[in-house]
Amino acid sequence: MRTDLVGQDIGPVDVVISPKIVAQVAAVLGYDDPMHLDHHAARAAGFGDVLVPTGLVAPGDGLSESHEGDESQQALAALEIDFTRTLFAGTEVEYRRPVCGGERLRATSRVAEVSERPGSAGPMQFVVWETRYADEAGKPVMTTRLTFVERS
Amino acid sequence: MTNLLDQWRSAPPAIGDSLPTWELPPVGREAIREFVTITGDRNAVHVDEEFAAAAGFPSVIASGPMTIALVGRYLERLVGPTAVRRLAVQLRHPVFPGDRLVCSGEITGLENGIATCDVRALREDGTTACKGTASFVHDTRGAAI
Repeated sequence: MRTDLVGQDIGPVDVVISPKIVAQVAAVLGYDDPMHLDHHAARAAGFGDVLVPTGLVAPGDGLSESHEGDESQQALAALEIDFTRTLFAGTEVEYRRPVCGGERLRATSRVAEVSERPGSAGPMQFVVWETRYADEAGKPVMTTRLTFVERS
Repeated sequence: MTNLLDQWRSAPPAIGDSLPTWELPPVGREAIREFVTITGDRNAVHVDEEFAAAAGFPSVIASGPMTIALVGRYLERLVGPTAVRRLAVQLRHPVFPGDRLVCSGEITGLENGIATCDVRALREDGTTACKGTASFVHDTRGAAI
């Protein structure tokens, strides 16, 4: 990957969280809580729409309406990470408040950290991809840090 | 399962307390496929047996975000959909179709209305699918957020 981009902000890009995708993913995960499945129930509880399940992150634009041609995917591509040799290794999510379907969030990403560690088949490169999400008023909503491992 | 936070109002938690364990239903092959289809994950290792075999796996594997989201579901089962403030999980072993994950955890800190805990999901053979830490609001009277 391009390590010269480490620490540089990438974006921001706007992401619209799809209520439909949120509800579909929640159902696949086995949720029966209507807060994740039924926008009427979520609105009755004071939320804008169905709640994004705790800990659910989708690299790039996985929770937005369209997976095609999204700017965040292009930003990720700019790093030239070889995804055929890359595994998802973990995530950290920090919430300032619950996140709802239908929200338009402004996402600013950066490669927060790159480190190399020895592996059984040679050195492995760990990449931490951090994205800070803010609402339309600029207030922080959540921060995600996704760790990828690129094998040599 | 009764909301843990309701229980804690009458019996406050202490550092070192175990969180209730929860055995999830078997992870379904179809659920694995649907998760990656819906979220736009195009890695064939989640859907294509031949591709997974070539990558050295005995079958397709659940996507990492799906495994982590199941730990999130465990926490929501304990404390509801809006209490978690932070969840950090590292993947340790692939999850295969049919795996039954058992989630558990322990309280490691209680401060300003926020509980921190270690959490993990183990496979049936005892291997750790993933582990990490989480924090959640447990007492809104003292919560800083």
